[in-house]
Amino acid sequence: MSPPGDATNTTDLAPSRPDILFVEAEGGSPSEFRLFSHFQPIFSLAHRRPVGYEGLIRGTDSNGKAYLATELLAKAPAGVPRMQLDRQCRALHVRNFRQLGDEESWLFLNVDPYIAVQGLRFGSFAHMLEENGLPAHRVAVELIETPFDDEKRLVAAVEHYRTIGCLIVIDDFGAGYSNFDRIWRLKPDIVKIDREMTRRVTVEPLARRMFTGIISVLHESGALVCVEGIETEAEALCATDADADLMQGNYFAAPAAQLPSEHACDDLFARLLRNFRLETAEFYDQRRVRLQPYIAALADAVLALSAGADRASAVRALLDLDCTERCYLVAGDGSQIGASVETERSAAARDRRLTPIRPVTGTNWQTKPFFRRAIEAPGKVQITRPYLSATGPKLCVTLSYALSLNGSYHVLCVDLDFAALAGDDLAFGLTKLPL
Amino acid sequence: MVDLAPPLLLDKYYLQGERGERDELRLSSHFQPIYSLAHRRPVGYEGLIRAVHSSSGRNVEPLELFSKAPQGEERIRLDRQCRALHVRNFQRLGNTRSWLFLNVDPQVASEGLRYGAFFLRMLQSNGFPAHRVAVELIETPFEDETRLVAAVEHYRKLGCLIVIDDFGAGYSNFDRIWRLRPDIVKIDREMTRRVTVEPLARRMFTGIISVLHEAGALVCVEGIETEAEALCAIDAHADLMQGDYFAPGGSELLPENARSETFARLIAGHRADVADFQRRQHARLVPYLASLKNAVQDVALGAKLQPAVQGLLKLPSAQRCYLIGSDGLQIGANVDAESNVYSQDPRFEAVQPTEGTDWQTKDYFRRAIESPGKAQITRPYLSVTGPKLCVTLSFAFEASDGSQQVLCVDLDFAALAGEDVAFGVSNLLA
Repeated sequence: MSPPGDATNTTDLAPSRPDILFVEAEGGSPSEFRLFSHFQPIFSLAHRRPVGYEGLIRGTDSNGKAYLATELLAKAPAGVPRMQLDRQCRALHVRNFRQLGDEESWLFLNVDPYIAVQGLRFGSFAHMLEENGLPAHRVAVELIETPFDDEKRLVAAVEHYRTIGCLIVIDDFGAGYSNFDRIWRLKPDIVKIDREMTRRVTVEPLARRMFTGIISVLHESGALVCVEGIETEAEALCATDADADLMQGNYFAAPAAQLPSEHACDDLFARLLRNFRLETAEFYDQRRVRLQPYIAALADAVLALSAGADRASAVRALLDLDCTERCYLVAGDGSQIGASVETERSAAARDRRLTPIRPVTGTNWQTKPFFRRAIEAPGKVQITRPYLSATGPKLCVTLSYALSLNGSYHVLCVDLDFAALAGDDLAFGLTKLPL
Repeated sequence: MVDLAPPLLLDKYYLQGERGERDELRLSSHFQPIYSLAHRRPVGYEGLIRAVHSSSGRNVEPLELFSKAPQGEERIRLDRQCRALHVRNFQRLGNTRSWLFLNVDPQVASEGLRYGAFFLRMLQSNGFPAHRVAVELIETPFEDETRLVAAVEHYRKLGCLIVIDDFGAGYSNFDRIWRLRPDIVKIDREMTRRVTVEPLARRMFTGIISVLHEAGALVCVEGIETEAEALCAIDAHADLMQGDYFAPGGSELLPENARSETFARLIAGHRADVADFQRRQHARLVPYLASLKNAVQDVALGAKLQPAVQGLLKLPSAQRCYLIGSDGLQIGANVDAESNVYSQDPRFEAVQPTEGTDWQTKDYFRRAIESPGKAQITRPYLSVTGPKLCVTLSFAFEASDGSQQVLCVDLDFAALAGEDVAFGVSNLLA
C-alpha cells in the first residue's frame, strides 16, 4: 500500500481519469469524492517483467483529503449502493487501464464474494468489458477473503466469471476463510498468498519452513502462486526460494497512476537472483558441513553392525555427537527391533505428554519416508525434512541407511535434534536475521 | 438402552422449554478410539457426548444440545459438565496410558479463563493427569484471536496437548496453526471424503500433511469410513487415524489389539498398491525417458533443437520441449508438439515463455544441474503455458561448446496418468 498522501499528487494522477462519487452523509448533505485508479504491477519471476497489474482505488474528498478503497467502500451504505460503487470502481479501472496502452498484461480486479454473487443478477460485467474493448481473457477476478455463508452460490458466481473467459484468483490464502476447501470448490487459476504470511516467513522459522510446502501444494492444485505484500529483499528471497511464480509489492513497485517501464526492475531482479544463488549455495554448504560428522558416524555404526558388533557399542560414537537424540534398528518389514538407544540428554528431556506414542519394539515404521526411501536405495544415506519426533517435543531430522544383516535388509536410523543442528540456520533465508 | 449401560455414569441436564416447562436430558459419554498407524493400537480416545430425552427416549445430537443452551454462562456450564463427565467416565474404564481428547469451543475456551481454574481442579479431583488430556479446539470463527491464544497458553501451561480440529476448512487455517502451535492437527473430515473421489484433492493431501509435519505437529485423519480412505491416509503419512472404519464411538473400550488384523491387511494392501502403481507409472514413462535421452545425444552432438526433439514430441503426452542454459535462462523458443499448438489457452498468453525466460529457481532445473546425466521428474504442477497440469522431465548434459545445458520436456499429466491421476507421481523414481 502506498501512503494515502500519494493520491493528492496530481501529476501522478494525470493519465488516470477520475470518477465522481456522491455519498449521502448522515447529516443530510452529500459529500463528493473524486475516485482515481492506481495500478500495482505483478511480476513474473521467470520473465522478470510485469505480467499483470492490480487495480486499486484511491479517492479524495472536496478538501483534498485522501482515502483508500476500503475507507470509501465503508462510506457507501451496504447493499445496492455499495455494490454500485464496487462496479463503478471496476469500470473505472478498466477504462483507465485501456488508456495506458498495455496490450498484453492481465488486469487484476478485486471482487467481494458477496458482490460477486449479487452481481450475477445484473450480469453486466461482460458487457462493460466489451464496451471498453478489454478482452475477458486478460481479466483476473480476485475474490477477497471474507466469510461467506452460501458457498454454493459463490461457486455459481465464479463459474459465471470463468464462462465469460476470465482468470479466477483467490486472495489472502492461508488466513481466515481463504482455505483449502475454497480452493477445491473454486479451482482458481492463481492463488495469492496472504500478506501476513509474507511478513511471517522472514521472522518465524516455523513459517519459513512451511512456506515452500504450502506453495508446492498450491502448485499441485493446478494454480500459479503469487506472493504479495513484498516490501524487503529478505521477503523477495524467501518467495524466490519457495518457488513463487508471481510477486507483487512495494519492494518491486508501489501502486501508481502510471505503468512503470517493462525493464524498470531488470537490475533489481538481476541482484535478487544473484543473491539467491549465493545464499542457496552457502546454505547447502553449511548443511553439508554440519551433517558430515553424523553421516560419517552412521557409516561407522553400519560397518560395526555388519561385522557383528552389538547395537549399543556400534552406535556409541554416534550417540556421543552433540545433536544426536536416539538410534533404532528397523527390520525389513518395517517393525522396530528392540527399544531405541537414547542419549541421556534426550531421555532427560522426554515430554511425558507423548508417552502414548513412544516407539517400542514392534512399532511399525514401514509407511515412513525414512524407511521407504532407505529400503529402496540400500547403501545410501537418506535425510528427511524436519518433523515432530514421536518422543518430542522437538523437531527432528532422521538419517537412515539400509544394510544387510544375517541375509536380510535392516534400516539403521538416527534422530537428530533439528534446532540444535541448524542453529541460526533453521531455515533458508533466515541466516541474516536477528533471531 | 444398551448404549448407556453401566459402568458409565449418567448425568442429567435440564432444558428450559418455550412455555417454561423443564425438559430432562440424560447425558452419557461415548469414546471413539484414535489409532496410531506405527503402533497399530489406540493411543487416544475422543470423548463424545450422548444426550437422550428422558421422557421420549429421543436422541439429541451434540450440536442440537449445545444450540439449545443459551449462549454465555449457561453454555459454558454445559460444556464443562460434558468434559467432567467424560473424565469421570474415562477413569472408570481403567485405561491408564492413552490420551483423552476433549472438545472445547474457542468461545468457551477464552471465556473460561475468567471463570477460574475449573479445568485443573476438575482433573485433579478425578485424579487424571493433565499431560494425558488433549484439548481439541473446534473450527469456528473467532473475532478475538489474541484471547484465543491466551486461552490455549493456559491449557498448555496446565500440561495438556493442544489439538486443532477441522484443518483445511473454514477458519481452521494456517494463520491459526502459527498462532496456536498445536501438538496435533486433525484434518477436516470433508477432506477425508474428498481425497478418494477428487484427484485434485488426493494429490494435495500428501503435501498438506507434510507441511503440517513441518509445523511440528502430529497429523490425525478423522472421519475414516472406508478402506479407500484409510489407504489414502496411510499413503499420505498420517500419524493418527480415527473413524467408524476402525471403530465407532462406544461406551466401552475395545481390546487394544482388536484391529491388529485390519492394520496388517491395510499395510499389506498399501504396499501392494504402491508397488503396482510404481510399475505402471514406470512403464508409462519409459518411452519418454528413452526418447529424451536420444534427443539429448543429438543436441550434445550439435543438432538443432527442433529436429532433435521430433521423435519425443510425437509421443502422445508430450507437449513441448525447451533448452535451458547453465544460468537458468531459456535458449531459443519452445518447440511445441503439433497437438499442443492448437490448444493454447488465450488467458495464459501473458506468461508465455520465450528466449531468455529465467527458470533457475525451478526444481526441475535445480535438480537436473545437480545431477547431470540423470533424468529428473517433477510432481505435477500448472505450467505457465497452461491450462493443463504437467510433469516436466529434465536432463542436464554437456553441450558441444562445453557448457552445461538442460533439456526439458513437459508432459500432459492427465493424458499420461490416465485413470491413475489420483495417486500422483510422488512415489515414482523420486
